[in-house]
Amino acid sequence: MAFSSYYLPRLLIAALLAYPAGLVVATFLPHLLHMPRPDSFFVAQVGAVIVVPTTVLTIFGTRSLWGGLLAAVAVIAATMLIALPLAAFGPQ
Amino acid sequence: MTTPHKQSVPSLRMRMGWLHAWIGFIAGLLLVCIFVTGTMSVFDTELTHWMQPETPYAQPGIPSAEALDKAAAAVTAQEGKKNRIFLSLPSDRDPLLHVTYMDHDVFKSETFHPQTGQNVPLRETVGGLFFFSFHYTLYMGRMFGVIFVQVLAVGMLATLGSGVIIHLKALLPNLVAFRPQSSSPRPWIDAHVIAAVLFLPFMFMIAYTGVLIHANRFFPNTAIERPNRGGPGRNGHHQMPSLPPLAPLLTDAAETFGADRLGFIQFSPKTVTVVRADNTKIGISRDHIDYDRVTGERIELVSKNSPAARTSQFLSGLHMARWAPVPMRWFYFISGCAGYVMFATGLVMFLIKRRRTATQKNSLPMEIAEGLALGTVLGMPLACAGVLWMNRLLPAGLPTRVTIEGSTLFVLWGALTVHALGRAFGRKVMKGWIEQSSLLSLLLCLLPVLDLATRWKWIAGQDQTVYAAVDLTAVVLGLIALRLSVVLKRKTGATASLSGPSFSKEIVS
Repeated sequence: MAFSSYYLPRLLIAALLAYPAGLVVATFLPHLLHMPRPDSFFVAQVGAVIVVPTTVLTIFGTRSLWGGLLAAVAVIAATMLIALPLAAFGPQ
Repeated sequence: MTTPHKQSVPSLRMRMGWLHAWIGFIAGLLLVCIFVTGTMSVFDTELTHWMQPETPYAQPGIPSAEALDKAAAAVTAQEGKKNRIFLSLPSDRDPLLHVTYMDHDVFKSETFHPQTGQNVPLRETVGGLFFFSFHYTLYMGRMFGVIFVQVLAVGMLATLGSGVIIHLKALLPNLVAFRPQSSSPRPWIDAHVIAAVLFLPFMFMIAYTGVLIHANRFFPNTAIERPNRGGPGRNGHHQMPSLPPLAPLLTDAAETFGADRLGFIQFSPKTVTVVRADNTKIGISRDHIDYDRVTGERIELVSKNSPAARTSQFLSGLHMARWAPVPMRWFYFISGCAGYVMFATGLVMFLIKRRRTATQKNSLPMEIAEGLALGTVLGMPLACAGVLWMNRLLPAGLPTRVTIEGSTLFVLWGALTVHALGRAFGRKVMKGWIEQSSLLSLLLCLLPVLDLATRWKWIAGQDQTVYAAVDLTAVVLGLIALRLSVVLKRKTGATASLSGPSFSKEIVS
């Protein structure tokens, strides 16, 4: 199981993208949720922590690198959509 | 797994296999240590009890007014010098009254008998909290260390995810397949998969909640205004008003939380805060009542009850298991051991497979990897056992004993890693495994002897449960280490005729 050149670009892109992907969720999701800021931020963090490893898995899971990048973007969008129903907590 | 051909695209299983192997190995080298110390932290209070063999028997309950006055005097004496001071109230797990403060990243405490108020002269020790602190900071600082551990936990989540994809088709059959007599690496794979699959929900839960507990460090929320915590009192460099009598405060708090549900008291320049105990429900709510520091009047009950806050409390509580009764703690302990087995066998499998496919059989990176794997898989448990031994061997009154105890972990760990690297460079890494597992079994199996020999003068009138549990657990783990060393010796003997005593050749057989 060599540290082959085939996987290296994926690893680098995954390493570069995974955390910013989580950060995007943690930054923007609270603005979409109508609840007190600490609560909405926690909900965003719950999603963001899932997004980071999922992005890595997605980039490695697709056959082509471009497919992986597109899928990673889809993961971020899906996470935000899934997290939105948590807005049902509502404002206090 | 071979390097893919230029024209062909590796299958999903191969791609995930590569990710699983490399991320798992790199993160696993430290995650093994995090699991060892985390598993020990499940019983951190009990370990502290074991490390203070002078601990007398005491009934848990609300401490007497006399005891609280003496503790308050100790708090006053420490205020102005230390950053954070709190007064731990008696509980079922720890029936004594402790004034605890942070001194250069190490918890220190003065202890009082909860009924008589007498100062209990316990030896200074790093205690179980030392392993707890290492578990989530690696002693690299409360900011960088925590974030580093979080990154490793995210790596664990990616490794678990890729592992599930690799084994998805045979997840259930793998559960019942353990073939120790098969040729290697089958037994290693079986042990790895059984430990991972059987405890898969625990593994996901512990990694995910581990990141979420300190999520504010991983994903900082800069938009939130920081609360005013009472001016410069937190760093303790100004005059603090004298404390009110604490007994009426506890009586009042007990009416709200319950007499057996009081956790600890915190002090600030303006308030005295009684915090609800963490063991009353799964969620670590930290509900608390603030009292005026001068008059002792109740100011407010602070409780976060929003669904998001309750979810956060629940996830933290699920990770820390402070709510858990004894059987559930043992379940956490066993699950932690399974995590250790999963990572240890994973590291070994990585090295075996890499040895088989490596073009250069004895390359420097390979030898470094073998040395580091041994230095963490057996080196860290050995270093932890060394801390327990040092705790009992050092004179009880030695002023620097806390520093020496704490340093023992790192010095021993470093020395064992150097030993492991030495064996790896000398192409005798299997000998290193046998030596370290033998030493581990020796240290653990003799721990009860050490315990009895150094606790003899206080043994009468003590509750023996904690000591017996720690000693018996050590013996069981020591026997497992002994079995490992015996098996490895036998395997080495059987393959002595093979040329080039490489790690793979020795372990493969």
